[in-house]
Amino acid sequence: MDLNNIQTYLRPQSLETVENWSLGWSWLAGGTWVFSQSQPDLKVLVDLEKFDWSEIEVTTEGLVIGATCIMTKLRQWNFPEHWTGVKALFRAVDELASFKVTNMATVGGNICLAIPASTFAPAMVALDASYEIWHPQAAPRFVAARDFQIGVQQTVLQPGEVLRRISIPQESLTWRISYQRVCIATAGIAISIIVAACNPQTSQVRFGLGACVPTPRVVEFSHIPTLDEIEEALNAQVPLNDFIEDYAASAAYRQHITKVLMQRSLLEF
Amino acid sequence: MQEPLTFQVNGKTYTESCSPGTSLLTLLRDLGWVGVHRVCESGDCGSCTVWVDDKPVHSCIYPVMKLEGHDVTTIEGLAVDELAPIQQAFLEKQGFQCGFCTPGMIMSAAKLQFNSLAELRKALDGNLCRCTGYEAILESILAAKEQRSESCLMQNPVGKSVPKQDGSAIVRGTANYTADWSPPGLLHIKVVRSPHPHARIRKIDTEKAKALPGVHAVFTYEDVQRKPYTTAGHADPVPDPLDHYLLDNKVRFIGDRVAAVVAESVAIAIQASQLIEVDYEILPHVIDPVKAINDCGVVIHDEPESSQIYDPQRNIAAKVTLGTHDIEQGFAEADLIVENTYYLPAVQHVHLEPHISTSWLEADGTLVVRSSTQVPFHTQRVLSQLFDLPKDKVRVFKTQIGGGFGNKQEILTEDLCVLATLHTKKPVQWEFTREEEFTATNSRHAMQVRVRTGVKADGTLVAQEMEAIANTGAYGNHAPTVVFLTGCYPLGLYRCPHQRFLGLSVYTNTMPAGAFRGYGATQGTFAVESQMDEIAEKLGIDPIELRQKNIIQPHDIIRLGREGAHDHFHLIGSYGVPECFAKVTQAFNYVPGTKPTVNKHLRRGVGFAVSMQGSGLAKIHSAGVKLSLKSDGKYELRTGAIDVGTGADTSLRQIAAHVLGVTVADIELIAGDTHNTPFDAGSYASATTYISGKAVNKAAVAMRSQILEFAAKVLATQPENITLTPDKAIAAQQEITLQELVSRNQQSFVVEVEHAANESSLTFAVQGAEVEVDTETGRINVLRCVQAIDVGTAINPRICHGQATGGIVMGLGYALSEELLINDSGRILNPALRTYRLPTAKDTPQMEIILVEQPDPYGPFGAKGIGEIGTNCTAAAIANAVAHATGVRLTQIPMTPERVWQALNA
Ligand SMILES: Cc1cc2nc3c(=O)[nH]c(=O)nc-3n(C[C@H](O)[C@H](O)[C@H](O)COP(=O)(O)OP(=O)(O)OC[C@H]3O[C@@H](n4cnc5c(N)ncnc54)[C@H](O)[C@@H]3O)c2cc1C
Ligand code: FES
Ligand code: FES
Repeated sequence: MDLNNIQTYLRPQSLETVENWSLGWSWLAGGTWVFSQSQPDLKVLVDLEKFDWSEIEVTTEGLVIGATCIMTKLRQWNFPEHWTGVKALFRAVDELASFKVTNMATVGGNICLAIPASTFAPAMVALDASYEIWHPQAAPRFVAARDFQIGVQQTVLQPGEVLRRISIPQESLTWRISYQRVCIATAGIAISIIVAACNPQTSQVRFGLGACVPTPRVVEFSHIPTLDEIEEALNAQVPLNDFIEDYAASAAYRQHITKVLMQRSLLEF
Repeated sequence: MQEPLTFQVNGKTYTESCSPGTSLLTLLRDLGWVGVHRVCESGDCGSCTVWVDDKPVHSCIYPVMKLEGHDVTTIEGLAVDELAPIQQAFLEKQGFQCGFCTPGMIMSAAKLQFNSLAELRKALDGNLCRCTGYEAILESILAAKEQRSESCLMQNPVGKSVPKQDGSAIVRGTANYTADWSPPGLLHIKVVRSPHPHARIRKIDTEKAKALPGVHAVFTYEDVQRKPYTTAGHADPVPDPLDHYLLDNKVRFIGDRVAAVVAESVAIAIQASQLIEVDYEILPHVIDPVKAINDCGVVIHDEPESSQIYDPQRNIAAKVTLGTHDIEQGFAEADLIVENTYYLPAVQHVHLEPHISTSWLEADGTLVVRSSTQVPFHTQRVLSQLFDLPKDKVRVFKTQIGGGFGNKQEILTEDLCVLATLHTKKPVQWEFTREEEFTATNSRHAMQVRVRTGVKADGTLVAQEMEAIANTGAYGNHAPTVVFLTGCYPLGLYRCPHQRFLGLSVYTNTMPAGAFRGYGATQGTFAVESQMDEIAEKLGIDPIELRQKNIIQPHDIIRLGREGAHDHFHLIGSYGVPECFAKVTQAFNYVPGTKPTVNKHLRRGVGFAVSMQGSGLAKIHSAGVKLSLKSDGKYELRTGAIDVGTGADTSLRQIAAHVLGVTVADIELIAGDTHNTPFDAGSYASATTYISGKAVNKAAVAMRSQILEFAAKVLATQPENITLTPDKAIAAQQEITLQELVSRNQQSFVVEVEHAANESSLTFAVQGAEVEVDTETGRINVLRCVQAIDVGTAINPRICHGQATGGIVMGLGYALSEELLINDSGRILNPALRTYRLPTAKDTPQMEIILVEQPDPYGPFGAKGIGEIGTNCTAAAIANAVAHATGVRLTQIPMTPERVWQALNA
């Protein structure tokens, strides 16, 4: 929609030229969220497009995704066949709105928006990703995906900081993936997302939980767990109080459905 | 302003300066590419889809500042001379009704990749359609691969699937909706809306807003006459409470109108509205209708000027009682009494085209209102009353309409537009945002419906009692009439000697409820049809058999609703109910007593429901038609009837063409314009085919005899010896062209007819649904819906079919996912398409529609009304199927996964 209160739209060529960051400024990547609701507090938009941070790099260390990589580009990329782990990323794209949104939206935009229903966040924590953060006037820093989000639409990013790239270690990329998502209807904002990653050699299992909790959570097992073990671990690590209670679903239902999804994901391993 | 941008649209190069927060959607529309439609502005509906460098995107969330150097294709750029294959396919398969979603649908479909129907359904996630139920859209996309051509020049068109005559414009993106044209010098309205559910306005300071450059006027209650009226579009005398004011010193729901700003642009109007300071005295409020009637200390309409309110002190807008028989005597005879209360939510129409109107003054002083309305004539009357203008000085007309479903049987935008035009003397437009649609128009009435039924051991009904408490919200538009239908149709459907209905429409501090397809019958049908299955289960009788045993028969008289002022003369004309039951049960290979199928946590079951709805309103719903034979030998049909997107303009022409022996293309149509067409009550109550169609039929018959008589005179023979062809009157030895006839006739060939039905024939529908319930998650997956409709005659089978599929899918949303969630302070929590879940193509089950045709003695060519009935039985059929599958009865909709899970674990 039209954002009538925007006074300035900057399209800087490089990060260093961005100066005097202040209140009412916001980065803009694809713009698909920024323009999808009114933004009464924003005055200045700073478009990241010209930085050209949209790389996809496949190396022996793993996978690097530039923050402004368009989701469709990621979805259509040819990855090494043994990288079963990219299924988590593919599903994160497929489950997000329509192909016309993912033709514009960026991977970094989804992560930085940091809504609980993020389709990428639970995938990133299940793949044990880490994020590189830049600032126009400071040195880069690194944060683990699981530490990045600190609340609903809150991240560790300080004013003026920007997500530069995402790194996923080679090891996780060979894990097998189950991606499960539940909404009130068949589409829309999820009330629970479970991304399970399983190491085919060791049977180690890492669950990324999203949408049911305000920030993505990790529940790990050294082996494929039994149903009881899932129940026990979940109750211990993610108590009922940690689940979101809102008009879309109660915390109790979210907790229940999360267990069901975790159990169902095991059927895929 | 920023640096100018250079870009291309449909091959044309532009250099434009834009303000920095503009969306591509707004830019394109401002440049005149109005085939790009504004619906949600949040990336959810897909109606604004265009291609940027050949990649489809939602233009509403595309920042225009990214456009430099890019190349945009809109629907208008798709066909140059010939239609693109995908447009051709949509035209052939008629993948549209109102057409508002169509340009976006086509621009998406052209770029879709899919290998299966399931993938296609999934790929359409970002494209919503409220009219079609997606079926015709899926068929169109699938057909785009194979090309065929179908001729539309059909003789004797009644009973044939003549394509909608606006189809070519729809698929090209050139259909002319209200927003697509406006006079130069247009001003825009924005309204300050109440943040409080109930408050009195102590003071409003508009000085700063008025001082903002570009602002032409600001209105508050101090600037308007205090005249009570109803926003409902009803014939005079209106049944609704007169309880609404242009602007008032009191606000009654979050979203109520406080002040109106008129400015040179929407952006300035918004900015100015933020400068208005309002001092509110906050009043206690009430959200729950049961509390509202029970001495809660809140009186929502305490103003003395309002009238026709049943009991203002107890917030009862309207009370309807039906049935005179001694109900307790009936229950005394019963072997079994079943009682339950059913809870129905407020849901929204979500017609994709928002409410919008544009008003201006002609040089001769005529006030003109171009509006997306189902009721131009009622609107004209209300405006003339509100502003003390003679009716002939107010012209209201509609253009192409992008859906209404009842929400445009309401005067919501025209009034303030006219106020602003009269004051500024300038053209003024007011278009609602999607959020305003969700929070400040109308919903279907939320209701709680208690039903108690007494029955003999053999299944014979002996007593039915129903009590409905409807939440009418802050205003009482449609309050009495909607609850009337809640009782009248669902109970009237059964021959039961003792019936009683009490309906209350209750004010609360929430968004008003109003007219919505099904009009109260939808709610009552859910309650009664659920209870019929509960009874069947308790008695061990097959639910179909129980219904058939008790359903009204052709010669029965429906007594309910006949005793008072609400007498609507419902009457059974044609009666295809047994065939409807037979066809639907056959389609399922239904064997009574079959157990549900269980596969681990998945359980499958089937359920049925039946419903009845009248065709138009007897006596009070009138339709005028003027039919002429013009000097070029072609016919011109003028009708006040409104095609909201359903295809009525085509069906009406089919009727005329059939009588006159021409094709639909030979009939020019002018519709829905108070200055250029005769009166028509409007498009509501499933009336258009039945009443306006009858008027057309009568006019065409009269025209035919006029022509034959005159031709007989000229050709010196008897009228019965003459054959009328599309361009000639032919006798045995000689012939004369119609043009020649017109030129020889001293008078012109004109017929004017006004028709009001003496009776409203009842339409019936039977629906079956098969569901699969996941007992671990509570999710209901509807696998299949079969609906048989007793239509009388299908004037246009494909249009009837589309009404049914659209109705079923609307019912599916009602059953499973749609609900306006309102918190304790009366705020709607999900006023957006992201959070208010409409069914998508992925949600729609396999659908089978059976049109049972037994001509009705009263309707044109035997046709009955079918606009509403398709919505009524879906939710009940699904609830009954869920009960069959799981043994658990849900009495509250929508049956969300969580509610189902709770019920399973209760
Ligand atoms: C119809 C629709 C449905 C949606 N459904 C879902 C859903 O189910 N689940 C879900 O997770 N999301 C959903 N979204 C939101 C979606 O995730 C975002 O629109 C998208 O991911 C944002 O990407 P973008 O590149 O367009 O970001 P933008 O809209 O440009 O930015 C999003 C936010 O991230 C910030 N930002 C962007 N990039 C960076 C960066 N590199 N560094 C720092 N900050 C940055 C921006 O300042 C802004 O606050 C939906 C959106 C739409 C339109
Ligand atoms: S208007 Fe753009 S997606 Fe709805
Ligand atoms: S035809 Fe799709 S919304 Fe009307």
